[in-house]
Amino acid sequence: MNNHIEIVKACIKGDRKAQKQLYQLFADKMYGVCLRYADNADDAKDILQDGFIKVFVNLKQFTFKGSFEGWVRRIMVNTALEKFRDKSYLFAVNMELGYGTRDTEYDHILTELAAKDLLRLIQELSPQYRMVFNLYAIEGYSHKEICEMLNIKEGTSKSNLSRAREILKEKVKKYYGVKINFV
Amino acid sequence: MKVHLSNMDQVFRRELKNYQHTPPVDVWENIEKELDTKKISGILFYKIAASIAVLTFIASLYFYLNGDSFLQKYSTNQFLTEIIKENKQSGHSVNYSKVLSLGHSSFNDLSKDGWLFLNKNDLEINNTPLYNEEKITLLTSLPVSVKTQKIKAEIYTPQKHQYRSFFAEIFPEFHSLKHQKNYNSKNFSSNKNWMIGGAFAPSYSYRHLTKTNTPVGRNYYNNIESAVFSYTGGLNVQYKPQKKLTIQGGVYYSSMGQDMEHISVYANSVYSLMDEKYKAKYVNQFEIVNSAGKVNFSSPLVYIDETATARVDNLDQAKNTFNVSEPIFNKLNVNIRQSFEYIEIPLLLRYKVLDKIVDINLIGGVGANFLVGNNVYLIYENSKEVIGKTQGVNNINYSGTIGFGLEYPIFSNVNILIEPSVKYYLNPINSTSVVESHPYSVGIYTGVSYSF
Repeated sequence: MNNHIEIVKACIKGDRKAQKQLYQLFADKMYGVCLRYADNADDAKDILQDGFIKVFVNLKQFTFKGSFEGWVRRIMVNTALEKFRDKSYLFAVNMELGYGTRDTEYDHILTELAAKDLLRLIQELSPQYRMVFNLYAIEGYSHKEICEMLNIKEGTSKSNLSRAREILKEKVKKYYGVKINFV
Repeated sequence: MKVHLSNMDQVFRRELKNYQHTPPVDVWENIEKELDTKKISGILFYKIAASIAVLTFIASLYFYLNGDSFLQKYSTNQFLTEIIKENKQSGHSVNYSKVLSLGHSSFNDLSKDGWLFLNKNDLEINNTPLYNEEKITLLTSLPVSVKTQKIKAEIYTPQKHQYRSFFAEIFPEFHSLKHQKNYNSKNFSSNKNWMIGGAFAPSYSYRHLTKTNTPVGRNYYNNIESAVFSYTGGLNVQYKPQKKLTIQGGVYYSSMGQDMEHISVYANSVYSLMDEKYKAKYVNQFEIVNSAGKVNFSSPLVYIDETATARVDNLDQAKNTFNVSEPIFNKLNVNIRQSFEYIEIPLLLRYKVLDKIVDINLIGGVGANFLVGNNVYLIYENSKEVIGKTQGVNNINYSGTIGFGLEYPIFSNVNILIEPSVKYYLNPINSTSVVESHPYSVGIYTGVSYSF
């Protein structure tokens, strides 16, 4: 962590070497984050690029109090959300679907799936479902925080989450359903 | 806040929370390029700012030095024309050609106002009684006359000029004002001090968003809202305490606002067929939240946000799903405009930087803006219908104005003017909104003023 602070300070002064070092430190982790929020690898690359530029431009605002990695990660997530807002013009529908249904029968299959498969499933979700699922299930934000981040109603966030879960379950069944018979 | 996680969520979280993947190699190269251009644009900004400062300095120096260099250039037409003009206005006439033939030795100094400042020694040489006479002849052979009620004040030796105060160096205007005061005579005050006028400007009106409390960010609002073309105009009174400075008050009306984009409006074709008593069932309560504030209204039309956010909300929970792809819905080609009308009481200062046939003024000031109209319009084909008001907007706003103007006399008392200027609201117009929105307008005023 102390190591980070030195690099960050050098970056603020505009030291190109330090900037590259900082990029190399976080590139893989952050690309992992971007891949989850994007439709595809190309979009993820754009988010990563824009996100890092924001990191370098706004580095002065980092207070050195919290975790630096968390700060960078938040910038990446916000950049991804901005991209999503720029791109998608979906109709906001407020679907109330069953919330909190039992997932047990899919858990067996799920545990068999590798990160790459799971990533593909998430990428296939429609943007809004993907955002909500990422923010809630993986990032750990509450519905209240999500509705502020996405400027949607709390109810919409909840229904989007449960719809995302439904879709993910269907996809697991469709893609890997056969596999379960052999397990 | 406690987060409820299903088992499925946990699997995803475990596998993906710290998922890593090496990005393509060109990402860093692209970042580096972008950082370089940002650096250059930063440097460019300072260069531009420095150039403006230098140009302003050179310009002021030019105006100052040029003003004084008139003192030396006896023989240029420009200077002599100046004398005639000034003296005519003050009720004196000076014969152009005869002044020219006076030559240097008789004058030690001539102000750009056209006053003749005489060296005492010269006057002694010419043997002219100066102190007590109403009229003097400078040289017996030349019948040029000037008023000399307070002749002591008129006599400025070159030495005195060399030791002018620093203030006078910066504002040569105050310097010549000092002379005028010393004359202390009505005959010499040639300026008309009061003016009334009117001006009108077509304007480009939008807003600048500063702070935002939502992570949605300013970009979101900038993408979904757009500027409007509007107008402003009013009457003004101007007072001229000195030759180059004017203070302006007045009353102006201005219409400002913004358009909301990416909201689709659908008409329900069933509505018109329904019996009156059922029509109410097709009316929905909507709430639109945008950068200027909230708008609540009820309508039989269906408003749908195209940006997948809660900007447009149907407050009636029972009716909040519309399948607008059904054939009963008919998409309308509309504009939704948020309009604010203000009466402004401005206080502007005008400083004349160039005093030629066409004068150039720098304009700056402040204004109090009183909200007199607050409407949200649905503009559909040629009709304009008020659908609601923006909630929580301030009744009084303060604005700052800067601009410059060209002024041209068409008669001796009447000037026409063209003044491009920018007005910016110093306070956000709605303290309850999630975004701080500062309206601004850019307009080119055209007007007339009458001096008396």
